Amino acid sequence: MKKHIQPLPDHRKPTITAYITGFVLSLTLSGAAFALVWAYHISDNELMSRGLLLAILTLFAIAQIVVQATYFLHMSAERRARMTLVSAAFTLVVIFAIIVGSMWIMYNLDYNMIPEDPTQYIQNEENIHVTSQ
Amino acid sequence: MTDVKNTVAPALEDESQKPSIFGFWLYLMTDTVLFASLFATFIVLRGRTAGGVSGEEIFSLPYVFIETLILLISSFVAGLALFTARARRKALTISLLLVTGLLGLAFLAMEIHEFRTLVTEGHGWGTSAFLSSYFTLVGTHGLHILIGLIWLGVSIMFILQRGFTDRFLTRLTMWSMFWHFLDVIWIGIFTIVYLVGIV
Repeated sequence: MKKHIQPLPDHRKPTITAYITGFVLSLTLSGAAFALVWAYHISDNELMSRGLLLAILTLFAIAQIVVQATYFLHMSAERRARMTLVSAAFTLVVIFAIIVGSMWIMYNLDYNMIPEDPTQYIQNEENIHVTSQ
Repeated sequence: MTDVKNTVAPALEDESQKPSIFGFWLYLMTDTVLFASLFATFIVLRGRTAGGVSGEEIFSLPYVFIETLILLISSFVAGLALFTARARRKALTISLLLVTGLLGLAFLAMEIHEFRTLVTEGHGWGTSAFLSSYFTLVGTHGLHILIGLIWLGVSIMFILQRGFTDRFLTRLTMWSMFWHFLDVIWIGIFTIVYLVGIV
């Protein structure tokens, strides 16, 4: 088995330096995500809109996963590792279908089911502000 | 460390052509799908507190940050241990693996402490759909950590008794992939469960 495996070119070999780079990047991104939520919290939620913060947090999470996959799990687009990448891409499609599909369907179910106080519920959902008479 | 630095280290790439390593990679992918369904369940049920507590009331930002740091450092040290194992530095490898294990234990202890506090304060998994899905998702990750720790213990015993065989190095590579994978899942948990829960 072993003799079929060609050694990697020197510059592609995983080194301790690459590991440290990955570690520092992960640390920075995690720290930034926590710091952002903390800053949002102490500014009484006025730092930015909630939607923007959620979008930034999602980007940070994706960046961290990419950093760890690259530096710690050594994923790459090289041909020698092609099947690894293909299986990862397939997994991503499945994850997307499960998570986004669930959110989509359940939100619609949720929306279409009549809650205990329908009037109040619809007013909240549609942002209708009824002044009391 | 100089000779360690120049070794072809964890050689995940060199070994990525080995069927056993690729097979283990496929297992990790299926495990990711398992976690994806738990994440989907949690996201759908996170607002269903049934009059009980919401995430904002029970999650502590500094506590989760410390957990995150511990797991990240543990994952990093596990990678270093693989480098030293490749260089067949026995004492150094065992000490690095012990550090990894202790950090993993600290993480698990913090998680168990958090669960205990929640249950004793009356916020157990039976309280609401939110808490059920929370305990299932975070608990499944914790269970994986426990399995990783047992596997690590067995690996350390193996080094002590038989040293570094080629097959053992392949298995240690798989273990380090597993450990890094758990850190990747934790990124999802601290972002989706805790950070978004607190926001």
